[in-house]
Amino acid sequence: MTNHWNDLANTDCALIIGSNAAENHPMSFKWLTKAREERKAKIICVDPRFTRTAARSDIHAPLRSGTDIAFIGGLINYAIQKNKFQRDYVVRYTNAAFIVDDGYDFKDGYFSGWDPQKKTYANATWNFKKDDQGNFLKDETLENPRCVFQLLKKHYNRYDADTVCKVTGTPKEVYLKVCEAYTGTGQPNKSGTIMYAMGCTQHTVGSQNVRSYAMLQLLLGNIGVPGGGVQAMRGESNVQGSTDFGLLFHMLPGYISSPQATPEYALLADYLKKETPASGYWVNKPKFFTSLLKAWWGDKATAENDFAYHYLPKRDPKKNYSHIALFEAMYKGEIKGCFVWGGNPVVGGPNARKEAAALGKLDWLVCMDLFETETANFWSKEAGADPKTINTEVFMLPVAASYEKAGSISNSGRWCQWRYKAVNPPGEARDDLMLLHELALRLKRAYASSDKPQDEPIKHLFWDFGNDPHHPDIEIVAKEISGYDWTTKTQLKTFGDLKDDGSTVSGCWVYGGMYNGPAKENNRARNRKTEKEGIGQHLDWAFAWPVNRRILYNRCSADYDGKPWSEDKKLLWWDGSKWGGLDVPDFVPTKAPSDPGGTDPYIMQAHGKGGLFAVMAEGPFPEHYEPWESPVNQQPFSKVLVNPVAKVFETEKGDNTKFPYVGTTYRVCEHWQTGVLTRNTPWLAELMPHMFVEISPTLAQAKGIKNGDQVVVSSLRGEIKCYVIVTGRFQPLMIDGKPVEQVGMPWHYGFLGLAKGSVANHLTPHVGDANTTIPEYKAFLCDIRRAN
Amino acid sequence: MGEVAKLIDVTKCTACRGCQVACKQWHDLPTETTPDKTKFAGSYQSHPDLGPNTYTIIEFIENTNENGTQWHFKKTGCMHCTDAACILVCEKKALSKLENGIVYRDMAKCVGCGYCAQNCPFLVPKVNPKTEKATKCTLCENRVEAGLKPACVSTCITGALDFGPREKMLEIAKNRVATLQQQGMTKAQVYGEKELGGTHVIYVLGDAPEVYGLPADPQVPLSATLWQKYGKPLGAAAFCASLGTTLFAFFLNRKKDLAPKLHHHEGGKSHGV
Repeated sequence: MTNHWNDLANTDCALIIGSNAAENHPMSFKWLTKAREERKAKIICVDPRFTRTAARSDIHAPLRSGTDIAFIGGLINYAIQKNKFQRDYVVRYTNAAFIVDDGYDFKDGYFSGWDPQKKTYANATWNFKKDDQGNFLKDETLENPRCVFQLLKKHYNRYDADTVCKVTGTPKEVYLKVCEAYTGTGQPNKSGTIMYAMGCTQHTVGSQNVRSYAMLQLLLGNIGVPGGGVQAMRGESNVQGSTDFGLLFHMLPGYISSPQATPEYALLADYLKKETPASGYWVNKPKFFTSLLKAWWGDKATAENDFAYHYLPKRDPKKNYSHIALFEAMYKGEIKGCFVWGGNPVVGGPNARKEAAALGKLDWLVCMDLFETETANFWSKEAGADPKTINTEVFMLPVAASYEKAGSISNSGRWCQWRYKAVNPPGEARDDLMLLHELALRLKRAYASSDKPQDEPIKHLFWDFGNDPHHPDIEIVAKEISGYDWTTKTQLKTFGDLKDDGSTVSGCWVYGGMYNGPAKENNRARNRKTEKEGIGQHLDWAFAWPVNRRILYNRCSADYDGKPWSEDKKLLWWDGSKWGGLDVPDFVPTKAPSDPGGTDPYIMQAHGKGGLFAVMAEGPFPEHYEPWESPVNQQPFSKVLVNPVAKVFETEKGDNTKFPYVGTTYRVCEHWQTGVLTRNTPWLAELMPHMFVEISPTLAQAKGIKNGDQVVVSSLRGEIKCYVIVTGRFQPLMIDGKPVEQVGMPWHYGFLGLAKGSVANHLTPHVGDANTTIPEYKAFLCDIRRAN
Repeated sequence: MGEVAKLIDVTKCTACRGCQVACKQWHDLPTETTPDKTKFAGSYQSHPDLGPNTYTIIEFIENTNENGTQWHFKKTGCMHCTDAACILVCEKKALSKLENGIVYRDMAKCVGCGYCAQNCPFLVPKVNPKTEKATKCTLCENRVEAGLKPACVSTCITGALDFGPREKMLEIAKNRVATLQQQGMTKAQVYGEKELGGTHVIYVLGDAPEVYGLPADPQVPLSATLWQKYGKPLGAAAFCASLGTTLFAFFLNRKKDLAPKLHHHEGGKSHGV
């Protein structure tokens, strides 16, 4: 989130798209309800189906799953055509005024640089023009036909309401209501928030979906202000923490790119040259990176040995290491062992039958969870496997639940909150950190006497977390994350104190200063003081990265001179000598608005501006492409049907004459992820005991299906049997004049636990987003019939 | 504290059902529906009705018409009436009225005769055939006594549930209704202010009571009044013999007519039918 949960209460309009917030992020509705009551805020729910969120919204706009870019593109067009955007914000806080490279073009669905033979983009022309001194060329009148604004206007000029609704299936009058309500937040005294989750990201165009939201927010001046922002509502309570700490396959902790196995990354100096931009806050990357290496290898990381840079594994740039790719590699027998730590891919993975089969190619599998998982039982008859044919040795380690261990958790709003242990875990269950600690110590022991250089990364791993052989001291872990001086061992105040000479340590620079002194009270994740007055930023509750900032890009909350755009939306202001206000400034507090860079709020960008135009795998502007499996054979925006650079691992796709319906998956409030926890908890299993699929009354009638029947849902990957709910909450959408039916189902169920049911992911494909390879769970083709 | 009340604002409920779970947790109640025993109801609603081990449920009421789809979420449970029919008919004095308005149940005295269940205008109490006790929402009278809010209220995320002095709850309810009406929900209303002498569970409804399966004008069944006047002093056997079972049965059956005519009601049998 650029903002945070509590700040939702400050919004004037919430656009919930790609999310079913009331069901899957119920707490968001505490704050939205407050906004509604106290500010008369409007809530807009954009969703293929009528959800519990829709029930509590002012407008429900249905759209066909996988058409977000068309929907948002139309809003961008509406904002520009009706002059609803916040011009002053756009001119100086975004790259709207920048002049784009002469070679940039968009034609027939492709951006410039498309190589039809190799099916890849060369993106050299997706760039800005500079003068002889290296300054960006700009036109702040926004009139230059080659400036970002004019190119943006031209690009989305094609997204008129009629064309958009032909693609999305949204009734035009509803769509225009959304346009009017949401672009109303383009006024300086209004703010709107966009809330999204996996309904947005789990598409072959998922990343561009997110970008389209960000662009709309930039145009409306909605980023960096209270009640504004783009809110990634994370799918697990600590997913934010996981990604902060390097969960992503191409990232090290703190969003530092992992090195690649190419000559340009050979030595530390090469890496730093390649990865450090000339301007923007990332110029400090060498300090963060060196401090990270120091955290990992301590005394063995010296200036002489490149701070042990050579110990880091280097990834093959031609290889994809995402979830799908890992299971593809496993399926081919390229991977021998696997730790599944709090995961359950046999239920949660796309094309889950294939993923279960892939596990059968392993020599060993370790599963760690609170209850026995379907993944740990992939070899069983219940899983549909023949145990005799599977040689994988499976270990199941019981782990502690969150109340049975202490530590920190980072929520979607980037708040790192300390949690305390309430009870001991049952039986032999241990907390994750304990398992990891013992694993590390045993590995180190195993390599202790090795002389091989390739064993040094483990042998020399700096692992000094107290004297307990079984449990690391988590205070020491937290202190290392925050950062300290290597010589004096004193905690640093912020990541601004980090150095690139090996004198400082930090395990994850974005959390720098979280633990800013020696005592437990210095662990700011423990802070628990709520705000009595003010706008609910709660600066003394927990620690928000970076530097306890609650709203990112908050320079944008004030005009060029440093005055808040409006009294109602004030957050920070320039008092003549420094910035002050209700949040921690997103920049040097003494940098005057008139100083160089004084109106460059997007500090992580080399040019300091919000990226209306930005390099992504499939182009600098989000363009509508159909899902990989689509019910239509052509689309009005171009002749290119599917994202040309989507990551496709399947060899064959479903034919829309055989599988005519749009399938999608989702969660319900009562279950959690693959249901391991909730399907084993009687009171929760009781609330949602059965796997079901939801369809419209018209589809039910066409198929002779009655509410409560057993049905078979099929896709090219397989079929599943479950109950059906026939409901008016599902309606066919008119796509280019033809009705298209949608079929939706939860993906929580599996063959173990108290509440059992078919695995929805037997239907979903191994196809991913072009930038992240997140699977396209949310739009695939299927068919449905009565079970008997 | 004087009279207390629980406020249920159905227009704020997101049907997360935290209240259902909190209730079971506080009262340590077992599950009633299990995947292998329960027929799929074709609905998100977990239980078709309240049960001896389920004191509260969220009813999912769905309606799709030319105006689009409405999906109402109504928390259902004991209304803690001032004119409580259940107390009138309880021969063993297992049910009684506390000073704060809560209809208190004394499990030790209950023999499971089921008269309370039959005479409740909202059909709330349920007899557990195994224990032969009638159960219903207690409004967490033990928590209230200790200065806490009922379990369901304490877990509610959106503020759809509130608890406090009855007068204050009524005031909040009326203000909320005024706001809703201003926002265009012209049929928004308070339910429970006057009904049955004033209930200690008060609803803010966005529409007419019937839409939510609530009787528009709930009454203490005549059978209950008669029972208290004539039946109770004589004892059940004598009463049945003297006045005749036909008459009693007639009044018992009459409550069907008291029930509202219902809309399409998703998920099993509707409360009040």
